[in-house]
Amino acid sequence: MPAILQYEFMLRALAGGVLVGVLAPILGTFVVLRRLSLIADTLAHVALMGVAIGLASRFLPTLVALLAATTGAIIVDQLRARGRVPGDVALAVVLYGSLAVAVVVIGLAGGFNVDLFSFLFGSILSVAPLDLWLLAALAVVVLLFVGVFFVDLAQMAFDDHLAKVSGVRTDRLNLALAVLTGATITLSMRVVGVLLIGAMLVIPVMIGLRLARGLRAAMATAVLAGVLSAVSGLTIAFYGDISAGGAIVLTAMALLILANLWSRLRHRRRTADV
Amino acid sequence: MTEAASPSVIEWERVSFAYGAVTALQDVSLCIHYGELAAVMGPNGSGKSTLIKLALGLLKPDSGRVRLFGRDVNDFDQWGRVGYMPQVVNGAWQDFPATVSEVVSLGTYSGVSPLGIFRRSERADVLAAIETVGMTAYRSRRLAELSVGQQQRVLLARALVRNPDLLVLDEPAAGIDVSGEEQLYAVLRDLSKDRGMAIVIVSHDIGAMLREATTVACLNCRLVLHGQPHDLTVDEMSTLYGAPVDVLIHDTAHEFQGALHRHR
Ligand SMILES: Nc1ncnc2c1ncn2[C@@H]1O[C@H](COP(=O)(O)OP(=O)(O)OP(=O)(O)O)[C@@H](O)[C@H]1O
Ligand SMILES: [Mg+2]
Repeated sequence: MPAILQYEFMLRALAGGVLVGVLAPILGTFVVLRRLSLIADTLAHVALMGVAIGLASRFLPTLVALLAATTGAIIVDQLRARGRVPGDVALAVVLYGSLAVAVVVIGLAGGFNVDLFSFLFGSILSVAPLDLWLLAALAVVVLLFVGVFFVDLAQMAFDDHLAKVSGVRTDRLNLALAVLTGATITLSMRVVGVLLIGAMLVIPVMIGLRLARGLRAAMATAVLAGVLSAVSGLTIAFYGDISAGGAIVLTAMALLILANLWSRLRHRRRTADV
Repeated sequence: MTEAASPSVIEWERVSFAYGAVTALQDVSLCIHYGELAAVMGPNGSGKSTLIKLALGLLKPDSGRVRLFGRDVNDFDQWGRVGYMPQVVNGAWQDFPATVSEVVSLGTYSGVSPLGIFRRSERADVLAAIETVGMTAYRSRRLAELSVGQQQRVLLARALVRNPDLLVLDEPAAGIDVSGEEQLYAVLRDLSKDRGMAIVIVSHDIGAMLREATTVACLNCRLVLHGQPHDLTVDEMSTLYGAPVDVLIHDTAHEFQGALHRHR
């Protein structure tokens, strides 16, 4: 057996990586198509505020972060639904507001420590059994949700107003989508880290959009890219002794570059055929 | 069915709406009936799109009421009876991974369908709607690879495939070429006359509207004029747009003089 599979912490990290690699691109597909990429970063910073408060008060940081991120998701969704504030300005205000609170709380609690570092950048050592169970439960919920409401979500991704006039219950689905995205971001931070989780919602999706024709195929490709990045990234992090989040996101970036090259090559071949 | 006796399809009752401090509509009352091809006209920023969005429940009026098929729009749930084509914005679907037939098949939505993820998009009704707008040759192309005018045709097909009782079109002809426009109006004429569909169409093409519409509503924040096309005079149109309006239409009932070179 290779060394990497002999450590229980590494098996947990790999399992977590696979779950994140599936979850983040699925929700990321809707986030990217609706041009809400900033939402991922915003919710990540709200989660960071939760982590800071959790660490400072010695209460389970993951749970405080989960609570903060889902509440943040609901607030952000309400701001978007009111529609009279431009979306990204509202997001930016929430992002910097929570970052400021996080920084103040961290300062009061005595500054950086190893724990906080692992929340920021992800770590193969820090995926606890509880994190894994929560991630697995979330994966079941998200897969059911997207499976049942796929057509509705596709309508919304195409055009929110058209979806509404077609009879899609957009306000409820938007809220559900925001809450699930918030939860995914929070639970993914032990693996990828708060600062880089946004990349896992966006980069695999860009790969999917580059390579596939239809929405289903794009989502499937994105999931494949997400899982591949997570597993290879964690392996590199294990052998190279580097940050898990950094290794995963750099792998995803490499895949994106390959996907771009491939699609350009394919395009050139197609135009050459004509 | 006479117009007076037919029930209303859309009814705006003393509707006002403001975006923050900007009043877009003030005290507008208007009714659309089955078989009516209603043109909504007015200068840029006169509240046409706002009027449409209020009718579809996309905006809530500050005061007044909106009814769809006799029901308050907030309680309305028979969305299968409504087809909507929004004003197309260039580049809006740059990244959307869907072919023409997939986009049109989005129009067949009729409620939550678990496992809808596996539904085929090339159904007979979808193909027929694509044929109607003359996009059959492009049905496997990605939407992002089409011109704006072609995207508009696809959105029209997406609205038509629902076979609605009410069709709402926000500037459907804005990016469409002359022959496409002729086809568009031919389709709309058939739908309103034969099928009795109520059609609301926002347009800046005064000549085409005076020719094709059965009723015309002129907006400028308030409802300035409402009547049949031949009731409107050049003077009234010029006042509405704040500039001389010259329209040439070959219509025996009423003759405008001017310079719009379009012949039927
Ligand atoms: N989202 C918005 N926020 C603020 N003001 C708006 C918004 N949308 C429209 N308005 C304002 O409301 C008024 C009516 O706009 P509306 O879009 O209904 O005009 P329109 O008649 O459709 O114009 P156009 O012919 O250019 O499509 C305008 O003064 C516009 O500036
Ligand atoms: Mg408009």
